[in-house]
Amino acid sequence: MTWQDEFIKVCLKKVPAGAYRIRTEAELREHMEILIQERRAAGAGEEQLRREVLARMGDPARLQKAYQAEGLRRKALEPRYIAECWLTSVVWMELCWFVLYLLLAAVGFGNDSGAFPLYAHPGRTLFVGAVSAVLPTLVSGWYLSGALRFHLHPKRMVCAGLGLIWLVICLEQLGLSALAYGIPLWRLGELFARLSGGSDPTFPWFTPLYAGLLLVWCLLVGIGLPQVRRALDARGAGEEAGQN
Amino acid sequence: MKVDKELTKGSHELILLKLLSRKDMYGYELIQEMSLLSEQVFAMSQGSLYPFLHGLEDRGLIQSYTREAGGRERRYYRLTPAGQGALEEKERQWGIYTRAMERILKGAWGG
Repeated sequence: MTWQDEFIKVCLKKVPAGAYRIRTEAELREHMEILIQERRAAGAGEEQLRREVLARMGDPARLQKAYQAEGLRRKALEPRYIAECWLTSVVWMELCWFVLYLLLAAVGFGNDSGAFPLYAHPGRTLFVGAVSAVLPTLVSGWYLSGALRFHLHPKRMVCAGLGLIWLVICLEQLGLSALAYGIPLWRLGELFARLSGGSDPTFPWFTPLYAGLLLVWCLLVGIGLPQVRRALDARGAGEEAGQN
Repeated sequence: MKVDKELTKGSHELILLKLLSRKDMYGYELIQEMSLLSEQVFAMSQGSLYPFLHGLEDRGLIQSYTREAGGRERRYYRLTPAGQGALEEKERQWGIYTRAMERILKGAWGG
């Protein structure tokens, strides 16, 4: 491996593999070759030439961050990557939901049984509904705001991802209840009434108001978390600059 | 000639857009032109040029394409119409800034 290869390798170490990496490697290599030819023509010896070219190119450790950020930004603009992030965030939401329900059941929450039955207890119902809305969406939103933070419009992308999550939650809760009670999805009013009104309801907190508030919450998370991420990144970069 | 880096911060975008408004160029050529025209005041670490150019490309201000040069493919950059608009706006802002600074430095308050 030549010293040029070594330099390029360090610079592009954290750039995701793909077209952008190949193209950037070619650009850097060509740039260094021109510099080498130029220094050689000026009569520089091999060692002097190496030192001068590397000095002109800059500190590879610092450049690595700039190339990584750009590589991730490129990656974040790929529709396939965005779709993968959205789907992964849905998986995170489902996992979080699953763990949360296990914990709630372990503590004693149940529809009409356990230490803390929800039936005829609006406060408990509201609590379970709120917790099962807030935690999974926060976890998914945090994941999305990290994975898409290099996108040109991270807020829009995170909001869209959380919009998808909202849709999945609604379809899941309505769909499962539709199956359980034999009420088709298009009879929404009847379905909502059965969900929150009768005994043995599947998701008693799930009302049209809840679905509306959940959407508003998802949008707030989608706007807020990318800002939190950005502030944390800026703080981290500031601390690093201070150390240097 | 060297000046405080803080002073030149933020001007690279304007310089690169301006250079590309004259003709399409590749990375090394841009660095050379920047250095020559500014008498080396605006020389930048050459390795940092590409992420900078790629960022401008992401924002649609410039476009890249490959062209054969000396038997090999070379990537050139050109200004887009959006880049031309951004350049005009930046030139206008830069004019306001330099005039204001000049007034202050020359003591235009009459003291």
